[in-house]
Amino acid sequence: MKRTYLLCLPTLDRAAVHQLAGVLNGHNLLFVDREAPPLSGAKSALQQCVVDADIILLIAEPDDIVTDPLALYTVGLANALGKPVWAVSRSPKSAWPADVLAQLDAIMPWPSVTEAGRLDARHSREAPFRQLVDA
Amino acid sequence: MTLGESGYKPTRNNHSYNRSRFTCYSEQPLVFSGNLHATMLAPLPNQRTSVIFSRMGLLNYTVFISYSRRDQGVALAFHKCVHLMGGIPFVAETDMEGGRVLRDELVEKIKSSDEILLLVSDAFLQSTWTGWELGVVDALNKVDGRGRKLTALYCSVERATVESHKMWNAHLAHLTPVEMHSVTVFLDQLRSRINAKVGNPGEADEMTAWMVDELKELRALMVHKLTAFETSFKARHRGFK
Repeated sequence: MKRTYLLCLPTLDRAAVHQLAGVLNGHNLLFVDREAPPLSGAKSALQQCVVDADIILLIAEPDDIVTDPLALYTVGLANALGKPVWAVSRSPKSAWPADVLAQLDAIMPWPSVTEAGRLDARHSREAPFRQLVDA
Repeated sequence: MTLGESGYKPTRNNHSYNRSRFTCYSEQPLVFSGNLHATMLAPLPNQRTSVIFSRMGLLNYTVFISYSRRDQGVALAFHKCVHLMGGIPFVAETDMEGGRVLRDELVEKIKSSDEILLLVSDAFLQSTWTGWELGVVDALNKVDGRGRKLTALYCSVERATVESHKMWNAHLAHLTPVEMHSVTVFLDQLRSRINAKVGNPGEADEMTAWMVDELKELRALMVHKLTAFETSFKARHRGFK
């Protein structure tokens, strides 16, 4: 089923983001980038993106999100609208601050990807991610 | 002895509203159209209605105070101010009910708020919750169109500091800032907003006593009505035998 994902990018690891975008190929992708310049109307555009999204993916490590208030703002928008917020992270759940964890629905491990840019089926830890993408 | 058997007759007192719907003694059950509270209280004068609605939790002015935990003292001071003005303050540290999902409860509290007070400080700009709360406010305003009033109170931070934060500046730059030295003006305005919605809290005690009497009388009428209906039903039942 084709879905709309909002990728919230507090991370500065752009190569990893491109890889993840490849995994989600075929779905509609929207991006919120911490490096984006503040434009007039950007706030309402961001609100509309959250309204349009089915799932919000927070591509981040704990340190990233704490230093990026825009990510927390986006999570607030999503929580108020009842949209699921999943963090995709290389850090385990225990490394995340309790305050931020309370705002999230789940922490997903970063998926390993084959050379073809697909989820690597050999890694069982990809199961929740696969469920999310294939559902 | 029930009220019906005692020959209870409600007396019409000098209240100015129309009570005719409660003085019907036929065997037809009382029928309220739509909301029971609204039906009972709609004919009342505005001020009395507002106080009663307020006491019933239908008409409150709720102020959600968004702050960093490091500014808890300031938040509690405003909590007290709002309470004394007749509004209902919400400070997460003291007013969380507990036993619920934290974020769901906060979303619900913001949803039911009329005004959001942001206690802007250095700690506020660094907090993980304040940005989230602002996101919730914006989303709810977009969805329900209530346009909750948003006030940024600069507690211990320079405007230049706020302007250096890209995200916060985008949110706060368009709000008229309230500085601490002009906080009394803000509080007067807040009091006016609370009074405009809730009514004059000075009459609250008198109104409460009056409302209790009214509800007692209405309850007695309902008991009378039900007893009469029960007697009639029994009589008809015997008739069938």
